[in-house]
Amino acid sequence: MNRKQTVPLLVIAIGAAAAAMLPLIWAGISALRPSAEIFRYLSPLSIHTFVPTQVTFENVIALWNGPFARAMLNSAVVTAITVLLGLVICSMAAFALAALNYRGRGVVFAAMIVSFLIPFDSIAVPLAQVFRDLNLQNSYAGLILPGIGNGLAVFLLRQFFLGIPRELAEAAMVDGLGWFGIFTRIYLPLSKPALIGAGLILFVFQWQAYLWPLLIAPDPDYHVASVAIASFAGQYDVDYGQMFGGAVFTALLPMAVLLVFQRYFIASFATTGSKD
Amino acid sequence: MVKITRRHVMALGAGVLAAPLISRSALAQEARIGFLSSQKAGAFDAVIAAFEKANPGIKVQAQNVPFDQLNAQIQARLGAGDTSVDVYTVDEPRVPAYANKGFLADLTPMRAEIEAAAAPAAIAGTSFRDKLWSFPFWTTSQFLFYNNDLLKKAGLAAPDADPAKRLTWEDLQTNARAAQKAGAKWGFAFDQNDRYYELQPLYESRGFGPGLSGDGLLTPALTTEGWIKTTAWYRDLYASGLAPRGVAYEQMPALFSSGQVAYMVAGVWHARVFRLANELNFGIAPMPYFAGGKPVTPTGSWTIGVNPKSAQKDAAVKFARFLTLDSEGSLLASTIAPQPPANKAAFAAYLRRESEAGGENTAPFAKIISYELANTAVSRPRTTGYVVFEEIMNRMYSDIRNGAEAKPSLERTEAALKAAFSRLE
Repeated sequence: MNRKQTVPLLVIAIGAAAAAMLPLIWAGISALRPSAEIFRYLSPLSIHTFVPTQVTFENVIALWNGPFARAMLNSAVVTAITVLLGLVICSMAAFALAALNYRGRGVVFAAMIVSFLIPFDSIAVPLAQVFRDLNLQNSYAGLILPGIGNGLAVFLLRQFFLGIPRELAEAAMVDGLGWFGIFTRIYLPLSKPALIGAGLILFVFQWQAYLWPLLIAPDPDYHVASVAIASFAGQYDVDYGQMFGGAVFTALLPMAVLLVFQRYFIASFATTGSKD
Repeated sequence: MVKITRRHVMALGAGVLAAPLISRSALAQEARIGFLSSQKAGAFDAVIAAFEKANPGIKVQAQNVPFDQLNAQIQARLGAGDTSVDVYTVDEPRVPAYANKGFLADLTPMRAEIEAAAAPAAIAGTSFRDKLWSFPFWTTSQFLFYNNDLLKKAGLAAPDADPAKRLTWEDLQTNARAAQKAGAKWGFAFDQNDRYYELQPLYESRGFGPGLSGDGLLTPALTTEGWIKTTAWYRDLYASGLAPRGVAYEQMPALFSSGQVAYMVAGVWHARVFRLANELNFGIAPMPYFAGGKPVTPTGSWTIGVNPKSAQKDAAVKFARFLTLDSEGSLLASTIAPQPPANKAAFAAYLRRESEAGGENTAPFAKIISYELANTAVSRPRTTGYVVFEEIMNRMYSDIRNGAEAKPSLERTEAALKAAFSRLE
């Protein structure tokens, strides 16, 4: 592509990206306005829609001094543990489905596929009941456990593992390595991009979870960020300043994570199932 | 590279299993009760602090969910026998449905105590099949809020605060159009723009009934001529551009407080919210009625229910009592969410507090509320089908507001209601 073509395309791309970002930018700017100003300049669009007439940090200060700070920490802890535990469990499951030969492997794999085709929201209510019976409500374990076994992550990793030549495992076995050694010393080191991809899937699932934390962890000590943001909305009065502020902060972390890991994420899909 | 060994994996597994043990703190000596509501976080901090001070040994944990999710939460959690909700807010017309499902403890033995403290109309809202199921907590009414500056620009006089001289909807519509011509972005708005609660009075004012009839109010009656006519009138407010389409009800007060709406029918609690908006020059008047009809205002608000499966029932009842029957507790509970308390003593104090705080803008506050509650208030239909009725009706209003035709929508809704009611026991 020559330069003549690149420049207009770049302009269009930047324009489209900016348009997609506008709502978030507006929310971020609104968090810095006094509450009476938030909707004043929304329509018709004018320069003041995006340039506040008054800037105040009141909302942001109140946000971080309130229950949101704890909720953000909870979200970070819950998501981090989910990603770590989830990668261990999903990669082991994927390894069992890709490298080990045993009767019924296809059935187990099919069951796994079905599990990620069923929307989580539709099983959340009965699952919450099971968790309550196990006395897991209002606990980190209750928040984390549904996130760690992710069918899509298993699927992704299995496809990647299938691409690793079997000869490597056989050679290692001749050299005296057991299955566990083959998994940790051959498959895992070769699968970094797929692990990052699967990690991102686990991350996004847990970070954006709303219904489940609302059902299983009503105790404010265990609120996650999404639930804390929702509680700025009362029936009679909504604190938009804090709500928008919370939403922007909640969006920043995944944005940073995605920016750092995006190329691996794409690589992991591109090489999925590849034999080369 | 970190070497992962079998031992690491085992340790991780053990950690997962032990996590619930670590996270449950030892609070065995202390009664800890969960209070679920749809008010924003912090709305009940003051009353909870006062209660905990007076009752050492009981801790109250406020749980807040958005209004639209409250019903789903109650169904999912109480229906599943969850005991982490001990006390919760119940919208008055939902009392029969919840009582029917066994979500509410029977409070009939406390009848004398409740009758001594609460207003009779509010008690009626907590009764079902001759028993009492919840504590009367709040009551409500609506005002016609108006923006003085926008009215002045259009050369319009402020509406009379005297309930006997209230505006008709016909006059209001003419004035709202004039205000819009003179520069108001919107002439008129309903604050709960697609909620049955605020729209029911339109039909009642013309004598067309609540939309439900028959035994137990389980027969939908939405396709009558009167209902179609009134719903078309509502639709026209939005279709003609007098009122804003596509704005969620949560954002309506913000439209008014930022000076974009000339007249808005809204809950009395907004008086406090608007007072806090700087530079907003507003006033209050009674809700309009249709010429030839009678003035009708909505009422009925939250009540306090106790989970019959609560493991801390004594503490739960104690807290529910403090919120409702204790005049000090009741007044504290209506500070951040400034709803009129159903408690008689607290109600009088509330009227004084709100009238004085408002200055000139809300001077007729006490006069209008007292008149409406005594003369024009009509409750929502008390039926076991109310929960589903409200949800389906609100969806219908939302569709109509955004352009759906009145008559086919009413027909579809009536069919949907019939199907939903047939599934009730």
